[in-house]
Amino acid sequence: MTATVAGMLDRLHAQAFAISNLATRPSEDRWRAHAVVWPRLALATMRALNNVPAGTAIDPELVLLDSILQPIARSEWIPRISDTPAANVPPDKRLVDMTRVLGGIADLLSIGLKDIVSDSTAILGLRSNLLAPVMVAANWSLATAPEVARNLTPRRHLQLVSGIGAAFAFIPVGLRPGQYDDIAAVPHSENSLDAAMHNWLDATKEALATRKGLSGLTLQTIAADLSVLCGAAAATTNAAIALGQLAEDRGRPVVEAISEANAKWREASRWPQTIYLGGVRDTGLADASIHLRQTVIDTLRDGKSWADPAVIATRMNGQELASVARRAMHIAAEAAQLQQAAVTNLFFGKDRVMMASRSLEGATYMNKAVFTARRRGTWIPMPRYEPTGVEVYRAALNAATATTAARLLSVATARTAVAPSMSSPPTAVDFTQGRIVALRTTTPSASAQRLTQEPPFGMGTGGPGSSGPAPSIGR
Amino acid sequence: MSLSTSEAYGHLRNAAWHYLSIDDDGGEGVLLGAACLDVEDAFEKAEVIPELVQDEGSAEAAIKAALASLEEGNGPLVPALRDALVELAVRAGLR
Repeated sequence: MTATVAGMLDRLHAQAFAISNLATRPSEDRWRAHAVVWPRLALATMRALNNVPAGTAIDPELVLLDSILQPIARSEWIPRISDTPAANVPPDKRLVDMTRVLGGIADLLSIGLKDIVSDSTAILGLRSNLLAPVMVAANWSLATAPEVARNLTPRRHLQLVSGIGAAFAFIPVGLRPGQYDDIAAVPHSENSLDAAMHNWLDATKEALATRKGLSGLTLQTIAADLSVLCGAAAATTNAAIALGQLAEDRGRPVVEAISEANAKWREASRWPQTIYLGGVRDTGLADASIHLRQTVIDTLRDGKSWADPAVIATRMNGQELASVARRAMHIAAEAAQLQQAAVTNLFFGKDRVMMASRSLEGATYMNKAVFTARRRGTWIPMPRYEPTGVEVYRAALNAATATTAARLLSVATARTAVAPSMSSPPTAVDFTQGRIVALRTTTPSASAQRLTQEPPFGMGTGGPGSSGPAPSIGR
Repeated sequence: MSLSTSEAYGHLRNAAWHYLSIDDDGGEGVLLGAACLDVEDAFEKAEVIPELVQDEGSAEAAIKAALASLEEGNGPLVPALRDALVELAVRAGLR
């Protein structure tokens, strides 16, 4: 199953909220169960924070976070208690689970988004989503730690974590979504559009990297597939608009931009009959291309047209449609740059495209070899800057440019259009749209009330009693 | 491979051009165009070099012309090429 940053954040915040509603009393054993997990939790948090691409070289916020989390990660925050008999207390499973999820998010973030410049809002939003649950964990551990002299230093460290986390938890949930939420780990064997797109991108990179396998058919196939990808992204974005997942005024310009890129890739994929570069396609690319097109047909099409939005949503197994469309555009943009570079090299570099000698016009080109070829009707190497070749090059260039522009527009839809609002310092946390948020009021929202009635995650200590099967947690 | 096989390849290239020129976002044109490229790959594997041929005016006519050219073709790989073309013709609704 495809794991996305957004999906893992959902899980992290749900866990944190379950923890925040536990009735906790100080207990030395429980405190030790927490303390043993905290270095790993701090390390995973730091990894995730450091893997968010920074907008600037010097990031004071990150320096501050590092200075708070590093001592815990290095286990310098807690005195070694050699005189106390070591009780056999297992690590708290809920904190362990949070650590694993944070580690998973860190891994996903390390994939990054190629050629996307981080903006401060996206970074702040992601940091808020990472640190708000950590704040909850710190508060929980603080409530568990007995107030005795030897716990003074670790308690102070956790208070710092709680304090900095609270500052971030204060960011309204509506401002937090961003492009990084879309980053996904896709199992290559999965039968999904995401997997088909990723496999195709890998095959495309490989086919374009080897000169041996580069043929006109390879370049035409990649261009045609890019058109198919753009068509799929437009259809998925359209479905997201129709189903109310994306506002019409924000989604429509994206669809138009993607459609323009689609049209330009169709143009780039058709080579005139008079141009030819022989050779077979890379086998991997041929297979991935056929699989991509079949997956698009199976997932998004109904006969000779695009399927109904509701049908598309069902076939996507509940994935956020706009997010899938954005991932399609990330892949299309990456492949587009490689394709354009290959075409440039082909028409202006060492490689030579062949041209039908009979279609060659202009006295400049006429020499004995050309005359002979024309008489025989054979192919000859295309002269540099021959207009037909320049047209094919320009078509690829225009398509790549249009794809980059469409991708940027698409990325902007990852963020919700919400006006920021600030309130006074937080006194409690709430669960809004699947995210921990610090609030002034202690009155929980409907989703919060529902979650408090669920059994706690894992096998940790304390917590409300279970009351029947747990409903799924919506974002 | 014979001249007729090269001509069939030439017609197939024209069919791909026509499908990829269909100006709509419905996606059917590009999918059929890409299917033509798949068949072109089979011609490349058979080491056929395309011939410049008269444009038949439409993708469907070009596919029919390619099939007609292959009827006169000979060689061990011609039946496989014909099968690939027939499959394309079926997909394009010509058969």
